[in-house]
Amino acid sequence: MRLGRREFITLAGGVAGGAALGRVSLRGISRLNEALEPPSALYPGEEQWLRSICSLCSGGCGLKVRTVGGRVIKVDGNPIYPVNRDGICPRGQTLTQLIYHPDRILAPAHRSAIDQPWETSSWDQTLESLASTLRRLRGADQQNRVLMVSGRSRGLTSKLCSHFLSSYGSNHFFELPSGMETSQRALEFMAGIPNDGKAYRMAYDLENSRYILNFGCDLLEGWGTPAHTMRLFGQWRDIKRGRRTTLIHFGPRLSVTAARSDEWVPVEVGTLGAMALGIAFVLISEDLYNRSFVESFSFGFEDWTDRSGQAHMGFRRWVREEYRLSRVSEITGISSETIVRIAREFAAQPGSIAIGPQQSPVQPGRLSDAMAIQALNALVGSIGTRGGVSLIPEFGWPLPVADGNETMRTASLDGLVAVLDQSPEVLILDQAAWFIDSLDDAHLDMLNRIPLIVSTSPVEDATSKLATLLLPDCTSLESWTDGQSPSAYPYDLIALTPPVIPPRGDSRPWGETLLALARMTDPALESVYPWKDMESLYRASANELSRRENGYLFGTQVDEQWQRMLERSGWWNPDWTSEDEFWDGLVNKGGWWDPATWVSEPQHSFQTVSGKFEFFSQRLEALLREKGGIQPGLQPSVEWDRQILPHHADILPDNAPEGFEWTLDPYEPLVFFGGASRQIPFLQQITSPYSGPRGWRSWIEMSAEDAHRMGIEEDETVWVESARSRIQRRVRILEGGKPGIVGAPLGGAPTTGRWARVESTLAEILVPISDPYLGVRSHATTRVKIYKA
Amino acid sequence: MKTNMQRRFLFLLGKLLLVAAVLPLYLSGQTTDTRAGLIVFREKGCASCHAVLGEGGVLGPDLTRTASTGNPLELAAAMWGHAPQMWQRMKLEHLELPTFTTEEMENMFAFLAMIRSFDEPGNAVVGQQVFQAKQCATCHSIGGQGGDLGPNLTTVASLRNPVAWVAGMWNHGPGMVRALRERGISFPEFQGTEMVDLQSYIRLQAGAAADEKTYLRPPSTERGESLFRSKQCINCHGIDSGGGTSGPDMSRVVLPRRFGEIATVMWNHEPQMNRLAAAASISYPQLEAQELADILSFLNSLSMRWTGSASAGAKLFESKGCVNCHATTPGQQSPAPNLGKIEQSLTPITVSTIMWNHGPRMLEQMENTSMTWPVLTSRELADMIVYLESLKGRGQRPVRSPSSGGTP
Amino acid sequence: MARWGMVIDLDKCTACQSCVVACQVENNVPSMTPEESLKGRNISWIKVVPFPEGSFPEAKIRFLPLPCMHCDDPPCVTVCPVDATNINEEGIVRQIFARCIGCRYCTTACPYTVRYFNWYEPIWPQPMEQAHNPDVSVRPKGVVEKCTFCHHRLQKARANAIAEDRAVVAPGEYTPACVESCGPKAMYFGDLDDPNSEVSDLSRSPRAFRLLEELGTRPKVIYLAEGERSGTTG
Repeated sequence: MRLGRREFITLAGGVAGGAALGRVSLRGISRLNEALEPPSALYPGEEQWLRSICSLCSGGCGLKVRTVGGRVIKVDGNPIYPVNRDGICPRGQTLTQLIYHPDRILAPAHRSAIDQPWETSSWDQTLESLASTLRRLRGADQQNRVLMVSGRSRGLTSKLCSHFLSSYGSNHFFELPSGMETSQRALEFMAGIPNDGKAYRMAYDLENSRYILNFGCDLLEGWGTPAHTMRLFGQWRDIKRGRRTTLIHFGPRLSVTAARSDEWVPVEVGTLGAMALGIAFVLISEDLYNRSFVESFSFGFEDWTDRSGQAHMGFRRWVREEYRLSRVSEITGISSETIVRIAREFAAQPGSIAIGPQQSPVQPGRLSDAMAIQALNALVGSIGTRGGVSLIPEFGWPLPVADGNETMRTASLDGLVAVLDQSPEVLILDQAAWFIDSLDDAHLDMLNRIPLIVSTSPVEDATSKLATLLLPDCTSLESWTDGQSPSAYPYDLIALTPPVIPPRGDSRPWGETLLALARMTDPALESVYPWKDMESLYRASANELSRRENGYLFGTQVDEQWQRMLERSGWWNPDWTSEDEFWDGLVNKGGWWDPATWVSEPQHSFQTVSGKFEFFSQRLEALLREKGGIQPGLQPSVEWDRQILPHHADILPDNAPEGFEWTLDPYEPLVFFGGASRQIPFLQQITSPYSGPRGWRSWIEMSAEDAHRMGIEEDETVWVESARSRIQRRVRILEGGKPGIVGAPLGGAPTTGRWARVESTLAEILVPISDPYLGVRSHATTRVKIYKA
Repeated sequence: MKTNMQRRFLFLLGKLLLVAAVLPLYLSGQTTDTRAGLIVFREKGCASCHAVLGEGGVLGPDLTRTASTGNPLELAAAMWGHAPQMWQRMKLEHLELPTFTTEEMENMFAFLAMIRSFDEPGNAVVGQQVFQAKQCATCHSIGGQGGDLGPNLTTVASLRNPVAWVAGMWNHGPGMVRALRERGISFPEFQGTEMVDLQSYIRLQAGAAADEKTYLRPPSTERGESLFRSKQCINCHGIDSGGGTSGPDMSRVVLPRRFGEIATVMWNHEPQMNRLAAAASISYPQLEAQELADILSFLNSLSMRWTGSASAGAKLFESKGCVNCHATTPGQQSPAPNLGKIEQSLTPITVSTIMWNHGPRMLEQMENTSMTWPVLTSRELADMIVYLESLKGRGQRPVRSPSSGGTP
Repeated sequence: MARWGMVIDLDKCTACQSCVVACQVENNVPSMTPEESLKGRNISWIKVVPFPEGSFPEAKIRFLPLPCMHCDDPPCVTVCPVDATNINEEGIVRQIFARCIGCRYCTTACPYTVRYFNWYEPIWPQPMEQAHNPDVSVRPKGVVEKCTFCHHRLQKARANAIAEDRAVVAPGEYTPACVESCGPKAMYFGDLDDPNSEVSDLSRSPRAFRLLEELGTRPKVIYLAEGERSGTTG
């Protein structure tokens, strides 16, 4: 890389360099003689290094915490925590700013209305006011008027939340979607899951992948668990591990992931499925697909005839006829040569994997696209193999009650909005700032009509702003905290750490608040949850886990390799022999995991109707029949197969209204994904690694080409207008971005607290697009026009 | 002049030391040493060239897939033979030559011996062929298909260890033999890794039933030895000429190095063994999977022993040209170190350590004088070690490998 | 005597800016109010700088984590009139706050723009100062500050070494906060004069380059250019 000095200063210096060159002021120099000795010269207190688990996203990375004199000074990655091993994302680093945030909520409080001042009260008083409402609704058999929205999505407290709600009698528990739901549904339709009542989750063995086709996932901006994905990225490019893993990114927006990939393929909006089918076309017509897998273990690849004698089109003929390169090239805007080249590379070696689509809660993507992508994995035989994809049983902290595993959870935002219409009376918002972020003003009005909103936020945020009752939780460093296998992670894992410091002020771990609430609401509930605090609940749960006959307590990477060697030949050398030993080991080492969870043998048996991997999903067919009211046995038109086979369908109408020439692509940046974090100054200062506005404001990203054409300057404020409404945003100019595409992050300035700033939310202008099969939103890409403010 | 007592003590001590170094400690459940061996293997950079169980570098051979057993003597001989080639390659790749302490080498040998006795995951495709060829489906069902005379194989799909699998077969062996005879099906014998392959196939067919995994704990050689007696194996099979003679002496049989393969050999002899045992009115031994693993571990440990002849070693010392550079009489000068002066007790492990740490210099000197590196078979190395050891004793200690005899 | 240096593998950098935050937390760098922040007055001893290359559709963006280069020939040292900045025997370019008169010649002289002036008294809204690292002094208004390679960590490591009767700090014992926090392990730190250290090994890599080498500053932060994409076979 060659750079001249002038060029360098322009890029690196930015405003900061300019500031340094500004007018010299000599005032204040006289005070330079004041003591500059570090305070450690006096004795600041005992230094300790303790373990904890991060709670700033559902990934739950292991932490190594430095405390001095009982104060938290620094947070780093725990080197023996298998998910992140040492590394940590910038969010985790800012836990100190969250713990000692000036806007921490340190005591329970209530107010009569949201425009009235807060009154602090005792825990007993505040809980009783909530418990009495719960009792009253239960007496009137109106339990369903109680709603809970949670952002935890993993761990024992999350399980306790949903279980508490269902034993109370309400069906309305909602949690933060992982964004992987669509991909998982697609794989379930095609590869099937056992009908054993257990929960399954989608997992990738990305550590061993050699060639990755990434259909739109923002891998480096919060996908999966950030610190884990970053570690993987480092491993893919570690020359000491041998061959470098190739990462190809498909997607219209020049995301950080796109910029850091080996190749960015800027497909048109909403054409990921078409792209996948174009690659499938090359694999099939050049005979590059995995014959032994497809011939022996798949269904619906060749033309076939069903029991009633009806002929069906096979995936092979479907792709060869419908997704010729010229057509795919026209849909995606990508040259045939590029598609052919990538397809050949994809088929060239084992360890190839296709992931996607997108996978973010804002835009979970389309089922048909996701099925096209999974079809690619089947074509190269990467289902259940090393470096491939699989559905594995969900594993986590068991709730030691009779029906502890039968907790229902709904992840659909649309479902939740529908419930808001049914005049709910109590809404409990637990780590739910993400939920408020996804609502527009009309939805917020609906929230404002709910008589009792409870917020558990430890710091003033969007939920506390709406609430009339505060039951402040504390941060993960102030309580017993657990972890479990995060989404996409290929191994079973549970983790547990004791508090690093006592809760600040009068805040309380939410799990303990729930146990107390159960006690106060109903003796029947109390008997379901007999534990006095979370520690004893964890103890009971750990006792169940100690009876497992696999896995190991956390250890070094040498231990990991050692344990895998043992496992491979069928040996297991447990490091505990009793419940007590397991508990001690768990707390001491920070967790348990099974480094041999991932299936090492390719999957050949599938829990589908045919017992094979289904290019033509018979379960999806049954579902569509049901939905369309089609009688079993009755044969619908020939168009039928087209709906079931993986296919491409446009998401935006062809003809844009006059002036709406841009497509706005909403995304979640690393610092804001999953809601929260808006109040943290250090995160506001690093909102994006691209140049342009520095924090505390929302922005949009425009290609340099578009900006120059419009005469828009970096950091200028513009109007972004959709068919619904218009909002103001500052502009970041992306050198090399795709013209016509506007990136728009969710999140922005804090809406409450000392640094609050009034900004319209992005949800105001978004026009959600629904998935025709799943009936939930798949995209929020929206046609917009942009003009100077 | 040492007393008889002292001599006997020294002999026993030598024996103890050797046994400690040679018997795989991992087999007694003490995994610390073998785990330390893995650390040595990683930290000395071995892992960057050599794979074990298919994982690791590709410059050198995969150490679990080369022939020979985990016997330290064979390892030492293999290392000796390949050393010049290895050093040359490392020089080419600009790799630093690590040095080892005896303890490190010992741990690494224990580690290598352990992983070399581990079974590799089977090949399901071969397993399917075996399944068909042996007509398993006539009696057994899997995934809802097949006969119902024998147990449903889906129920054993969770077994991860081939030993556990063989134990299951072993225990219903007599019944199976009877049922086979009634149907005129020949008793299924298995070759090599067929049993492991079969297990892989069954696991695949069982689908989700194989998600539950059951393992065996690391086996114990000591427990295995006592089980070998209590289960009356010893009544037919002798060890070092002690015990019965109707079956082969287990200390003289060459067994495969992997546990699953030893178990397969055992299975193949099941009908014969059953007959002979019945004739001698020994009841058919029922074996828990863990018990079988312990017994196999004991049998495996027998092949870790080695023996050599000092007189053959003396001849080799001349014929291989060692004598041209190395003196052996105390006080004698020679171009290369006097081998009579080595104070350390010589074992395959110490020899490997010395060879590894000083070998490159030796190779260099040999190249300067146009001599070729002497290649030694494991047998020859054993003879040589016993010979060199005998030099130290000089009539004060019995000239024989401490392990060449039987149990005391 | 060690010569401390850093290697940053740009191929592995994910631009997450974990290093930026880690540095701020470790070194008691104050966060700015939104108003100051929007004016671009954030202090970050290490920042991630984007370098876009090429235009659509062949665009690439490289991200360069930019700490103080700890030049062997630091231009900032020569211009300081009061010896408030100097280079110590281990190659660390130091800033002595008590001597600094705030003339900012050094910020101008530094070609890498990694020196920052304190325009204001640092502000920590209560109780954020609870998290202050007691090993690092808080800088007053009117002085220049910059990356120290977390020099206080070296002092601690050395104290440990002395306590354990060792002459030198062991490899890996002294690591700056940014390097420690790096998720993809893109940053390396160690003794450039030790021929066996990872950093000196990497600094000899054909991918290694230094920023603005032609200025003769001889930086001790060495970058590794992006690696080659794997071929399609083998």
